[in-house]
Amino acid sequence: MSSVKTVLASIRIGWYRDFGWTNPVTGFLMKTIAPVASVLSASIVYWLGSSAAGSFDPSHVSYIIVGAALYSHVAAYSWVPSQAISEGKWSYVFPQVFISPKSSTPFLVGRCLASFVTSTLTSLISLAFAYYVAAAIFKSSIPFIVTPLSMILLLGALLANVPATLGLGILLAAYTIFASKFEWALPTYVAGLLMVFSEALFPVSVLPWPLSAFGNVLPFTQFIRAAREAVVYGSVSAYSYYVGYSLLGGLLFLGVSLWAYRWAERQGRKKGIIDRKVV
Amino acid sequence: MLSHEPEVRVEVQNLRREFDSKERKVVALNGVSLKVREGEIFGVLGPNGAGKTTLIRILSTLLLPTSGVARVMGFDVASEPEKVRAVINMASGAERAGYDYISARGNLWFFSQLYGLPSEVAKARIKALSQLLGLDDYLDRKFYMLSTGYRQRVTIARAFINDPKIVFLDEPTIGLDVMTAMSIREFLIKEARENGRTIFLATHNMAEVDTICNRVAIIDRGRILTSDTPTNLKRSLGAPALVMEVSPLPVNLAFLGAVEGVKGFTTSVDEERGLARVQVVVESEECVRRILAGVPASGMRLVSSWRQQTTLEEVFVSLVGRGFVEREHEVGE
Repeated sequence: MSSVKTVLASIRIGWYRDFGWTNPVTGFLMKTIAPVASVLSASIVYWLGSSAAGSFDPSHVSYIIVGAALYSHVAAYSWVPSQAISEGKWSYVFPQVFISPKSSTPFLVGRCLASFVTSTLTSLISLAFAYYVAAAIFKSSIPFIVTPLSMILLLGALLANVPATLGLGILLAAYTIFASKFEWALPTYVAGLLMVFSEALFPVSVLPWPLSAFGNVLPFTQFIRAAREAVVYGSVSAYSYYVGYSLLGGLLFLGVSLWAYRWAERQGRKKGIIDRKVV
Repeated sequence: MLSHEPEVRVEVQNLRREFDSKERKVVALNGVSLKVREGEIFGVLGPNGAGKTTLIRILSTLLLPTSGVARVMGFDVASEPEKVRAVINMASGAERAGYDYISARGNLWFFSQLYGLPSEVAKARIKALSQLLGLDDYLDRKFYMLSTGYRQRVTIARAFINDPKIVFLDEPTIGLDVMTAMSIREFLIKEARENGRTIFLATHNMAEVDTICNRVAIIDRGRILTSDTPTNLKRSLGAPALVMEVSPLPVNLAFLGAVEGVKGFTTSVDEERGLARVQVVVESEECVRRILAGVPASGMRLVSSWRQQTTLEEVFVSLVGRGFVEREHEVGE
């Protein structure tokens, strides 16, 4: 029961932490700028390139908008557990959380879930905004399915992806326990790799083997495919396959990550680095 | 006041902790053993680098010992950390744990939830602690807007938020003004006396230990040198310390090592007045006479001398032969 309380309190503290420095509206707008910018830039780059080559295809724009928005979503909340540890070591919140009865895992889950909610909203705004702006700039109809069913399916895909992203977050957090400097670096590198391997902007099949195979097994790739099925292609059977794969793969990944985090905690206690400040 | 035999709440046996650095192995704790009981304010007194913080980190489950056993409420800190964590809390004076852009109340509420406190209980506890610590008017201010003293009061309140049986405090009044430090000490005494809480206090503030601790262990280089009540420790020295002001600088105090009955001494230099103040822990009055006779014989001039009421610093000097400051310099080197 105490774990649930810790998760809920950590969700709340995560929102306060994200928006407490300003008013909630300004805070939310600031958080929306990055995904909107990334979605628009990716679409415009495609438009400029394809127009020059005379091969512009509006369905490719939908493909890019969905991929870029949801890639930003994954990148935005997967690094939150890692951030919670590094800033928590600095402010000494993390050692205090660590010595509480349920220790730090429910705290990291809560912080990650808080960011999931914020990031889901900003991603949906980015999708809608990019769709209208792209249609206006490119002067063409961008295929996009907006029905109650497609929105439910999209939300289902976002939820099914939570275990995988949480797993990535917890794995990065395990690394951050050991990090003594540049703790922000690894999540940034991982986000870069995800852009290449999660089918955010192009199909992983264009990558040489075994890189394409690696991209194919990632639950994040399946998540983005499921989301595209929900709002671009509209195949419920393909959607079900991808979303199921994303969920099961994500749960497996989360299990491995939780094990790795427990191991890192134990090593952290051995080495005396749980309360060591990151410089 | 307790109506029963106080239970042992912290028990440490032959505790050792080593750290591996690039150049060498550092032994932070070397065979530490102690017992602390219910309702006791137990001080661990020693210079910086003596091992106080390492001991608190182990007892609060942040760090594993290299060897030895440490039990809190009968639970082994190494193998049963979850059980230990349910009955303890800790605070450090050097760290102000809290989110800057969240109010003091919000921070305290968050930490209360880590212990699963029902919302109403948490609110009542925050209210009670803030009244005891004089925080009522500051609870809704953001953490970063509080002065150092009030942030430390919040930190202390946080350490008691879960109604812990044992609270570990590491230099809780460091850097605080006299009034804030005094009110925190009064709060700690009240918590131990009225609620039977065990307070484990690591500090290098001798006056603090003298004022609030029921018992004290003096630690140096990872070893407990002695442990008793502050009064008994001071009484054990016998004669009051001798303080002398001698000149010219630099002074040569080598002769003190040869005087029978000298247990140790500390020196501080007053450049402005061109003299050194030497505090000597002595065994007897005869020893004092020998020292005073030895000053001119060593080519120095005795500017003044007097006897000083024994403090815990003299106890430390008598055990180690050096004062806190000199010891910290040695450890730093």
